Amino acid sequence: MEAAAASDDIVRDLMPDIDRTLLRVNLKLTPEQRLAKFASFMRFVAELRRAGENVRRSAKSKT
Amino acid sequence: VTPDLERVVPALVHGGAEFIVIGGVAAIIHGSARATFDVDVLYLRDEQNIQRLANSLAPYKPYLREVPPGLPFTWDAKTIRNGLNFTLTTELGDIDLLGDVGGETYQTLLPHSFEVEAFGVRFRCLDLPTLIRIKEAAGRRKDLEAIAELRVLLEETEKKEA
Repeated sequence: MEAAAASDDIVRDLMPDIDRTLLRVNLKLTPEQRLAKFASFMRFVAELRRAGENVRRSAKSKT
Repeated sequence: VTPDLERVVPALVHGGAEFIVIGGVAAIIHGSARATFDVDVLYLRDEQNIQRLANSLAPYKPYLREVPPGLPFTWDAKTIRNGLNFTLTTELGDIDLLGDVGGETYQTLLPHSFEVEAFGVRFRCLDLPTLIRIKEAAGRRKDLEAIAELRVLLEETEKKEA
């Protein structure tokens, strides 16, 4: 019970730091558009990961 | 493994699986700006659905995450029946297949879900107040920032609807 109350206090402390502008932009989108935006971001992340792996692979092959 | 949402969700729907999207992907549906790297799905634990889930994911070679490759693991209805919650890695990305979340099941959370259409299919997603409640009940420190964002989202959504 005390742990839950402590967590609740932490959550309340964190709330003012949440960037509401990002959320408001998302709330203007439909749920489908939000998922499409996220899927596009994940493709970007996957590409970055691939690029990072290539860098590490080529660095390894040089040593 | 980065989830390929555009294929994971349709694979489950086309396979006839009954499930509710929860966790980070549900948060994104509600407007979250946080990234997530797996898909959390609460599934109906009846015999037919277990078979459908097994069939839907089998082509994508599910394997238990954090288990060294090569250990014997068979993805089939019997495995799902004998287990409950599975943290899987698949060719479509990481999927958490959950039969129970803190004592809540597909049946208990179904009234707290709604239908979403995306990627050419319709599927169910947990509503925002319940998503917050489930995350709070889990009591994980790592979730506190996500809970703060979800509470702000709820405030913003209510403000928008007022």
